[in-house]
Amino acid sequence: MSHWHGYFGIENLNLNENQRDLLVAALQDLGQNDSPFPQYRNHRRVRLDGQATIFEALWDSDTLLPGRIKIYLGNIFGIDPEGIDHELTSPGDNLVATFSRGGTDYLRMALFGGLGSTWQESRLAALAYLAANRNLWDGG
Amino acid sequence: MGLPYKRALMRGAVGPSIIDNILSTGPVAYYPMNETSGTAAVNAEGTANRNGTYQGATLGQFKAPFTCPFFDGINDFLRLDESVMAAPINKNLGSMAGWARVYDAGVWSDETWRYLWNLEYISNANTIRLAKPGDLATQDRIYSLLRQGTNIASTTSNALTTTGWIHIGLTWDVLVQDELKLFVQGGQEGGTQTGLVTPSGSLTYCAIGAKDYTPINTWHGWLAHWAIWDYVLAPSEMQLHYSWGGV
Repeated sequence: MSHWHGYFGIENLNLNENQRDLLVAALQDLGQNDSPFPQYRNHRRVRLDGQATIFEALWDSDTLLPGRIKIYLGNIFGIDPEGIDHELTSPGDNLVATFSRGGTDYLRMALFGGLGSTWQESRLAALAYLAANRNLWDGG
Repeated sequence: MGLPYKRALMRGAVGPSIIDNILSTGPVAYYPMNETSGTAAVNAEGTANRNGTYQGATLGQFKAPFTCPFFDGINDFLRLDESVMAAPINKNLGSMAGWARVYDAGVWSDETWRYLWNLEYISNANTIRLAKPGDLATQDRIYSLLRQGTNIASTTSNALTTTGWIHIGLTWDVLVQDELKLFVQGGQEGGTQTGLVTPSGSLTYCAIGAKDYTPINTWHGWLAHWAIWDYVLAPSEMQLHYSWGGV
């Protein structure tokens, strides 16, 4: 099992409120939540509109792969995860997956800096994303 | 200010450590933030339920002369229990002070509000806070605010470029002197503000290094030795507090 300390984001595209909350609850259980080091415990930041979250933790890398995210989504929808499609892109230094079903996009996830990044690389990628989307994430 | 406090202050001035010195001034809560592990930010004043909880933050970083946490500018902050802190914190009369250091010079031009300590009562319209602004005109300064609705008393420091430690302090006295004062490196900056009105409502957010618990407007850099008092530190006492840091 490999671990990765970095920043992982999700953006709700078409999940309803209940589905979104179930997904966030599932994701916030991941990470080294008994670690003596706070930065390794799952902690998060929520976008001002509540429709996106950036998590940071020391992750079991496998838990962040698209196939595992499909299992979470499959459980939420009560369907076979195989029925969920995903498309991978790599904008900048990030790895982004968009999950869809029946032609509708439901969720976007991003690994800031990608799974091979160091924590600092992932952090700087997340900071760059926040700076580019400041109006959505920071109030006055 | 009573004589016992003066004596304590004199003892503190020759005390063996910054912690002893700051404790001698009788803060209602004081977070040295020198932990190297765990999620508790211990309140050195001794009241255990005033301990804070680190949300993220990389502990045990040494930035001379302090061992302190690094706050990532994304989702790290120190959360205090607002239901506990509401009683010892006096929104009519008080002081807060500590040391802050930005991650790099770019923080002073990142157009992002970054909070040092926010006491928010019910809403953004009732607050006592220290922060680095996000607007272009003042983003390289420290901003202090005491607000009750449309009654706003605020002041701003001189422009900053340093990536070293900055001692920052705020005093407020709504009822007696009607004064809000901001201190940087031990000296008052921005002038004395008057026309203060006590923020309304109960304490909703009490966060060091963020505006709220979302968290938004997170600090990007290091913080050390933050304390809060239920009385107004005199300018000379703020200067003395600054001197104890040795930076």
